[in-house]
Amino acid sequence: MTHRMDKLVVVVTGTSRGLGRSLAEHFLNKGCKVAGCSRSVSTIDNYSYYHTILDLSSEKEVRVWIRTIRLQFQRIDVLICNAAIVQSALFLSLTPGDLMESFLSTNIAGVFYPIKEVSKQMVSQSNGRIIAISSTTTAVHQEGTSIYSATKAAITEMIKILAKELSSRGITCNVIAPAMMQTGSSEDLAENAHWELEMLKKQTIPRVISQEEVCHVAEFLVSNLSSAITGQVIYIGLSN
Amino acid sequence: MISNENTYKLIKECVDSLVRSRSIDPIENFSRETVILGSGSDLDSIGFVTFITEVEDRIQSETGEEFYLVLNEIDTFNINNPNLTIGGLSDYISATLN
Repeated sequence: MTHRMDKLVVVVTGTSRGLGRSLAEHFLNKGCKVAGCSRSVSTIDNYSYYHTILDLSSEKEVRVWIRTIRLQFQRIDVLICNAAIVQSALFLSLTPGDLMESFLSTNIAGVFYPIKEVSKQMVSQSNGRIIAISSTTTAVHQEGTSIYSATKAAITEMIKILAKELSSRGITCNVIAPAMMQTGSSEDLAENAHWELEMLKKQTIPRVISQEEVCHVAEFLVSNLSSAITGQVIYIGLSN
Repeated sequence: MISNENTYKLIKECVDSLVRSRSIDPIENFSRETVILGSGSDLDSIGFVTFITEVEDRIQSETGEEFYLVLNEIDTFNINNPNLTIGGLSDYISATLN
């Protein structure tokens, strides 16, 4: 089973740390050119990596970013929407309104704008792969994640519809939904061990999922081996 | 600065280029009154996306101006007139760039 990854142009959001950084490094190691972004400076040192500091919830900033990538590389083969905030484990009744707004702008607008701009390029080139990172919290309905899970469920629906809209141009759109992972974000969420244990108990495979495992699923979805798979949610660590 | 005439010409060039590359189906009777989005358009939704992307790119390369189509900014395209014509798009582009 072989597939070529080198020379692909891969765009990943939220690459300064955690899963986004692992995804960027994974595809760099496969010989891809990777364009990443975050609100802070780059933490990746690689001659094939191009970093931009931006706010993904700003339509204008995202437009300029994607156009710059298109002009530089002439194409975009893969978009991985990874950036998200996971900073609350509060019951809905206790969740402040401004926190809810920040979830909407980062987790939904921050996925919508990159997809909107990148999909236009992919339609023009009649080829592409779009992957959004979600979470198993949407499937287990974990207490304390009402807003976070709602945004992830929204993204799943967005991707499923997008898959239909873009299928005629050879573009696939899928979601990867990993269970509990070791990232800065999930560690913030699981500040107390009790919450983490509760999450693990709800998983089919009750252990922390490695970032590498997610990268392998992403690689499969990027490869030609998955060219007929679209509109799917791939759960890791959970049967659903 | 770009004149209305040149904008219309640029749109025509975009359509011709995309038809030649078989990215979109031909547009019959190309004129300012031709509907490109809405009832009676020869372009399907994905064809319209392809067309608009080509227009945005061509404006960038020929004028150096950043241009992004925002449908709800086009005065002649609204709930009472849900059909966008070549002329309506041309006027919008000219007004935006000038």
